[in-house]
Amino acid sequence: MRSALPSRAKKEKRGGFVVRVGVLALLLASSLPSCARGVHSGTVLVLAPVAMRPPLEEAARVFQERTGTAVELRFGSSGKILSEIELARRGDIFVAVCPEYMEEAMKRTLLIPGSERVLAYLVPHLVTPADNPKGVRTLEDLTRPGIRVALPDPRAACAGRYAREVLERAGLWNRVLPNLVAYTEDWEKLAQALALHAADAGIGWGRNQFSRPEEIQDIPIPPEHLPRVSYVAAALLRSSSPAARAFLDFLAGEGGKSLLARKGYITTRDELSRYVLPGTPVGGSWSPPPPGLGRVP
Amino acid sequence: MEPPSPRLGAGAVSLPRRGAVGLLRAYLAAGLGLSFLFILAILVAPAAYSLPRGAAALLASPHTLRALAVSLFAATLASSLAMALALPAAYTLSRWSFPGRNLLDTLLDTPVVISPVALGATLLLIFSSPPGQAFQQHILRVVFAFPGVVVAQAVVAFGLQVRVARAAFDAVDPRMELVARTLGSDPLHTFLRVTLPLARRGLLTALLLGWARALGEFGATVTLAGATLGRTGTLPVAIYLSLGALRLDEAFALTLLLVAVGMAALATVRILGVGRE
Amino acid sequence: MLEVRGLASRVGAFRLGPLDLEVGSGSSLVVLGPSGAGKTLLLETLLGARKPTAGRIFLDGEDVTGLPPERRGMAYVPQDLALFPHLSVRENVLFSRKARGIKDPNPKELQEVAALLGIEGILDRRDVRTLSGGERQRVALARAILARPRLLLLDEPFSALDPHLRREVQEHFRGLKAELGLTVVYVTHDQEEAFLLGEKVAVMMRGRIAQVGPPEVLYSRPASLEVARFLLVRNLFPARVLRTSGQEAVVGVGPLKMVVRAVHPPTPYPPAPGAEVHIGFRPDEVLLIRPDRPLRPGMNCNIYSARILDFLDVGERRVLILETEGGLRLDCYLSPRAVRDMKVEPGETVRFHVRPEAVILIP
Repeated sequence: MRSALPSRAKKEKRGGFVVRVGVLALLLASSLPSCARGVHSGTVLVLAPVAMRPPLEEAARVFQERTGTAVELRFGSSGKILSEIELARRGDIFVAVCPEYMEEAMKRTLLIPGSERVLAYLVPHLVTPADNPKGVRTLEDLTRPGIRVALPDPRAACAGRYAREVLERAGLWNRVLPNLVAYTEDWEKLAQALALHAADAGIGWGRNQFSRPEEIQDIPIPPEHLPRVSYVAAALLRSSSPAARAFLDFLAGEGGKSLLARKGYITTRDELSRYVLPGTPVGGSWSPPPPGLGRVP
Repeated sequence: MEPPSPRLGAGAVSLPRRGAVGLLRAYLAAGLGLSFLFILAILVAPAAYSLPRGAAALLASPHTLRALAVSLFAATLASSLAMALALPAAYTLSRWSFPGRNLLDTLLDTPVVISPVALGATLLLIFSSPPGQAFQQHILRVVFAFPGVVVAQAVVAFGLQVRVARAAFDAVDPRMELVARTLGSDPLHTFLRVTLPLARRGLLTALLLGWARALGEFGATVTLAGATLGRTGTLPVAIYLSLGALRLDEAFALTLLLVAVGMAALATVRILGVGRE
Repeated sequence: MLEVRGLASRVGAFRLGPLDLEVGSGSSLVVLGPSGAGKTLLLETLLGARKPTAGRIFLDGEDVTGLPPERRGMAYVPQDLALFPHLSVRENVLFSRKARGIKDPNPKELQEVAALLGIEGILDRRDVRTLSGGERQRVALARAILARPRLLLLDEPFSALDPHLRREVQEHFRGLKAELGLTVVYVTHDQEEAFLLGEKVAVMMRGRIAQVGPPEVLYSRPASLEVARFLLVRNLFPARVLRTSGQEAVVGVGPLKMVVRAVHPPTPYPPAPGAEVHIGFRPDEVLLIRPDRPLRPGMNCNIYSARILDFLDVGERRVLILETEGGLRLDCYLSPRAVRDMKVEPGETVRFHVRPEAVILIP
C-alpha cells in the first residue's frame, strides 16, 4: 500500500510536467512577436528598397558613429519589405521609393500618421552595361532585333512599374515585348544582370542607385517620355522606438540631404526640374498589369 | 526547486539516476512534441491565412498551374541531373584514395556553404564570362531562361546529394564488394549488383532530399534565371513576387500548394521505393 | 598450388613481409597470428584488393600478381561471411555463375554442393538474415566453392559459431575439403582451430612469418621466445646449457638443474655447453607427485619440490601457482579429479615432475 502511493504521485507529477511544457511552449510561441517588437531598443531597424542601399549604408555608419545608436538595414523590393512589415509588425522606419507603397502602408495603418518625410526624387533611366556593347541610346533602340531587354518585375518592384509605364506611354511596349528576356525581382538584380552582361539594356533608376555605379551606364529618358517621376519618402512605423525618430530627423535633415546629394541623389525640386518638363507629376499612382509576360513564349 | 539534501543517506544512491532517466524521458517527449507542433504550425499557418480568403480560386489560375508545372519539371530534371553527377563523385570519394581527396571532399561542400543568392550571382558571372557567353550562344541559353532554373537548382541539390550518397556508399562494407569480385564479378557488375542495391535506401534518400531542396530553391534560381512568371517562375519565385505585390493571400495560398505538392510527392516515392525492405 | 615469393605490402607505418609461402594443391595452410599481426593485409594482398610493394604470387604456376581479384581464381570467405543481404540464398550461392553470365537457376553443380553441405532445404529462403549461424556458414562456403576456385581463402571461418557447432562444422569441412580436393589458406588467431585444420601452420608475427611447420612440430618446438609465448607456453625461464650428450642436455635454471630431451630437434641441436638459452614447458606438463604412492618408472629426473602460492578455479581446470626452492614461479594445471584426491591448499608443499621430452629448449 505505502509503496504504491509514491508511484502514483509520480505519475501525476509526470502528467503535470507534460502539461506544463505544453503551456510553456504555447506561451513562448504567442509571446514571440511582442518580444521581438521592443527587444532592441538600442538599435533602429530600417526597411528600405534596394535603390536606397548606397546612401543608407553610409548614413547608418555616420549616425552610429555620432550617436552610438546602431542602425540595422534590411533591403528588398518595395513590395516585399512592406509585406514583411505587415506580417512581422516590427521595424522602426519604412522607406518607400514609390509613393504608392507609402500610401499602401498608411492604408494598412502601419505608420505613425504625420511622420512621413521626403528624402529625394528618383527619375527613371534607360540603363545598359558600362561599355554598352549594343550601343543602346534611345527607348526606340530597345525594339531593335537582338537586344536582350530585362526589366524589374512591375508587380513587386517600384522601378518595374515606372519601366512599364514609360514603355506604354511611348507606345513601345508591344514592340519591346519580343526582346524582353526576363523580369528581375528588384532594381538591384537588374543592375547586376547588366553589369554581368546577362542583358543588354533595361529601364530602372540611375547608376547612382546601384552599389557599383561604375559597372553600369544610365541614359536619360527624354522628358516628354516621362509620364511621372517618383519621390523617396521615409516614415516611422507604429512599432518604432524613440531612437528611430532621431535617425529619421538625421536622414531628412541637412546632414542626410548633403549625404544623399553626395551620393548622386536629387534632393531638391529645383534640381529635379532640370530632368523633367514643367507639370510632370511627382508621385501619383498607376495600376500594375497582371502578372507574367502577358504571353507564354 | 529544493537544494539537494545531505540527509537522504545510503538509500538515495539510486535517486539521482532515476531523476536523470526521468529528465531524459521528459526531454525526448518535449523534443518530439515541440518538433511536431512546430511542423504543424508551418502547415497550418498558411492554410489558416489563405483558405478563408479564397485560396482555392487563386490556385486554379493558369499562372499558378504554370508555376507549378515549371517547379515540378525543373526540380525533377535538376535533381536527376545532379544525382547523375553526385553518384560517381560520391562513390569515388568513398572508395578510392588519391592525393587531394580530402581537399576535393571539402570543395564539394561549396554549394552547401555558399548562400543561394551568392551562388546564383556566381553562376551568373560564370555564364556571362566569354566562355560562358560562347556556351550560351552555341549550345544552350541559361541566363534568364528555363535551363537556368535547372542549373541553379541542380547545383544546390548536388551539394546535398553528394554528401548523402557518400554516406550511403560508406555504409556498404567494402568486403561485400571484394567477395563479389573474388566470385568472378568485374567492377561494373559488382557496382550494379552489389554496391548499388546495398546503398539503395541511402541513394533514394539523396535523390529525394535533392528534389525537395530543388523544389524549394529560390535565391540561386531567381538570380540566374530571373523572376519571369510563365517561363522561369517557379512556385517559390511566384510566392516572392506575390509578397512583392502585397498579395499575402496569394503568397500563402502558393505556399500551401508548394508544401502540399512537395509532401505528397515525397510520401509517394518513399512508399513506392522503400516498399521492399 | 600457391607460391608466394618475397611478398611485401604496407599500410601506413605497418609493413607486411617480405614473406614466402607455399601451399601444395589439395593441401592447406593455416596462417596463425595474434590480432594486428598483418593477417588481413596478407589476405587482401593475396586476393588483389591491395597492390604489393614487392614480390610475386603464383597460382598453379601462373603469375597472378597483376591480375584483378575476379581473374585470380581465389574465392574468399570473410570472417563475417559477407552474404549479400539483398539476394536470396539461391542467388547468393549462384552469384559467381551469374557474374559469368550463366543463367541456369538449378545447375547440377549446385545440387551436388548443396547436398554436400546440407543446404538443399534452405536454397529458396528469400532473406539470408533469417538463417542460423551454421546455415549461414554453409551458404557462404557453398557460394565460394561454386566459383570453382583454385584457392580458397578463409578468414577466421568458424570463430563466430557456438563452440559445439564449431567443432561439427570444422570436422565437416575437413571431409569436404578432402572430397573436393580444395587448396585452402585459413587465417586465424585461434590455436585450437589452427592445429585442428592445418596440415601446415605458419605463425605470423608483426608482419612476418615467424615459423612454418606441421602442427606437432610447432607445438613441441617453437622457434623463438615470441612464438612460444603466443603458443601459450606459460612457464618460460632463462637458462644456461651445462652439458650435452646426444639428444639430451642438462640446463641450469637458476639453482635448479633440468634435463631436456629433444623430440623434433632443430639443427644444430643441442647448443654447446655454456650457451644462454630459454626453456619452457606448458602448465599441463607439470605433474604433481602424490606423496602416498611410489614414483612411476622412468620418473628419475626433473623432480622438484615447491610451495603452493595460490589456487585458481577456471572452469574445466584448476590452476596452481607454485614457487620452487630457487624462487621460480610456475603455473600448473590440474583436473578437478586430481584436486579432489590431493591436498592442494595454499602454503602446502608438493613435489612435481616435468618430462624431459616436454621441456622446450629455445636457442
